Amino acid sequence: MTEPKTEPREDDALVKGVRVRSKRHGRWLREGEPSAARRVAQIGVLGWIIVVPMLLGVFAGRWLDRTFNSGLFCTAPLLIVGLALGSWSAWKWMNSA
Amino acid sequence: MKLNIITPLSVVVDEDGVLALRAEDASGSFGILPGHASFLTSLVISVVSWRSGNGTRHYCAVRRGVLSVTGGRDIAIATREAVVGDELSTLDETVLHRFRADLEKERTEHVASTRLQLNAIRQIMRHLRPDGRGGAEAAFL
Repeated sequence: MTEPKTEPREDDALVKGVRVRSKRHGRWLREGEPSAARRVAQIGVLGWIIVVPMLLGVFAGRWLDRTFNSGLFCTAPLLIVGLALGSWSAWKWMNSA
Repeated sequence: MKLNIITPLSVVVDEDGVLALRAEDASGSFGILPGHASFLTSLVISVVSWRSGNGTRHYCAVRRGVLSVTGGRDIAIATREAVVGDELSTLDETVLHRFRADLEKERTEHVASTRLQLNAIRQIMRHLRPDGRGGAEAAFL
């Protein structure tokens, strides 16, 4: 025969689920629906997250090419690297937001 | 709309005149209004909320379950466990209360069943006693 448990578990999935939902509801009551401007700002940030590393890559590449006098040898790869970096961080940001 | 929430052991909610209902399945939260197409889905561990005819909101924590809408006006939820509350912010306490009460009940039932079992064994032992008095004594008891 098993001994009956003495205390209900605080970390039961049902209790946790209820807490998460009541927290969300409380936040919705406090802050309400995010405004259109806020959403647009979020989308704008997403664009900049991709563009800024690309621009940095281009400028760094131009500078290197000018110093070593090597045409487009550094600019093109750094542009691609910037794009990859920007896309990756945009993806991360999207999943965290 | 008519709302029925049932667990294997009891009918938790049986209410008529529900204006709107929100529930949650694996694809996220959704709402049901009168006249909804017939619908069947399996709920996750979540909170079902609905608005009654008099405008008050009610909440019910469910441990998974099946929700069905038939004829656009009958909602039935069959779930393993359901705890009803009128306030979402205190529903977790209500759930814990219920757990505690269930444990208490289980414990008393456990004691009662053990007592019953011991009594039965005692009776049998009395019957099996070799001096033959058992029958009369059992009849006396």
